Amino acid sequence: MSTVIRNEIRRLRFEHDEMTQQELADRVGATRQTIIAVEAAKYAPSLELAFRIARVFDLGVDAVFRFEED
Amino acid sequence: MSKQEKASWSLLITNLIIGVWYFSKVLSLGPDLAAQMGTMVGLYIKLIIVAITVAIAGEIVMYVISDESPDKVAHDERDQLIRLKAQRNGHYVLVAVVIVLLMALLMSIGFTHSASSGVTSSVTTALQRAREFLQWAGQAIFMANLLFLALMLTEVAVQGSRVFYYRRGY
Repeated sequence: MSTVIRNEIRRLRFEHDEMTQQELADRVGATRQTIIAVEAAKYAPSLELAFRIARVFDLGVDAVFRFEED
Repeated sequence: MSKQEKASWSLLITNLIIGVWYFSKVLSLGPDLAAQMGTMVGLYIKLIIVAITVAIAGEIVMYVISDESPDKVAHDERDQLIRLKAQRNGHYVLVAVVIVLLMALLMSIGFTHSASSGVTSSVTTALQRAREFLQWAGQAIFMANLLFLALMLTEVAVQGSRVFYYRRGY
């Protein structure tokens, strides 16, 4: 059984004054490569990083990330 | 490319260059390494010099060909996970190589014992002791080379894994 954490980061970035990946990375204390990997659903972030990302957009974690079961 | 990935590429290439250079030299010396003790010592010194030179050259090349990363953090949780996963892979390689070497050594001891079991002479002349010392020295050099090979393969596996995870996406 494989699980995937999907997210709305790309859409949310554009809705927030077209925030760049680098800006988001700087605000959450991660590298741009990590943000790219999270956006592409290639990397499931830790709970702490998920909360940090959600906080940038003033949203809850479940509004940014969703759990999809294959 | 992140700083961590650049460092992994640099270390991977450095290890491969040093490993290929060193073992091509060792293999060209032939099987009787104890008879060429001076050459081996010289090779070890050269190995240290080459390792330092290649590492510095690698750092300079990586610095020149890559632009400065704008990231505020040098590494984050993903880098740490990749590092741990790569070290786990390196551990597997190390264990596998050590098991193969142990089997090979045990088999060689078995052959040596069975070949010399018929010899009952207990004469300990100076010539015989010298020959035993050379045999021991040869085995010690051989063992050192095998251990170096194991460590080199482990490091290649670690850095190769890191590059793989960074490239593939993790």
